Amino acid sequence: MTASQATVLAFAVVTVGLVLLEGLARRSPAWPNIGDVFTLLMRRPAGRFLVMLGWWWLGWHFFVR
Amino acid sequence: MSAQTIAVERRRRRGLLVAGAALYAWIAGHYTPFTWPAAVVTFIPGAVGLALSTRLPRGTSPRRGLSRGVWIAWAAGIAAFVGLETFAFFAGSSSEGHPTVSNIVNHALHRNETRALAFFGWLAFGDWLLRR
Repeated sequence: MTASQATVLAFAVVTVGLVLLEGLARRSPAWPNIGDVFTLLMRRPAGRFLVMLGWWWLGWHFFVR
Repeated sequence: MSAQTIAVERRRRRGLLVAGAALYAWIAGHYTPFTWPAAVVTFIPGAVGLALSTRLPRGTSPRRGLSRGVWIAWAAGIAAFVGLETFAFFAGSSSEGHPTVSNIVNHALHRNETRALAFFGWLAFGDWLLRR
């Protein structure tokens, strides 16, 4: 396995893990889901601003640069 | 005005917003990266989203009594993703060596249609964030 394949595989494992966690969290009311994670991050104005700044950067990174 | 009328009006506005966003994303997807039109169509929703984030304080707080272990699992998963991205970036960030998310995703964003779809997803994600 090349270094490139190993890195892609690692990204895939982490992504699938996060998706699985979200799937399980949606079935159990006592488990925080991704919405709760972002609600926690955005509960203060500074957090809201920084998360939205991150969202803007994401768009800029993928669609402009 | 009845509750049903208000609900219908809200659905109509939501439908118009989604249709407008889809049209905007379709247009935006046809601009090539590294050009000024691509910069403009990406700058506008970003600036609007950032401005709305300061003007629409939701004041929400996370639900109480949620599993501490699952919070830790989320933190670990997100840290693993960010750590992997940081490692790949400093290890050269190339498709042949250690690709970053950008290197992996860029292949899929070559076509106008997939770029438009991704742009729509980005707009939807921003809308979802603003509703937190």
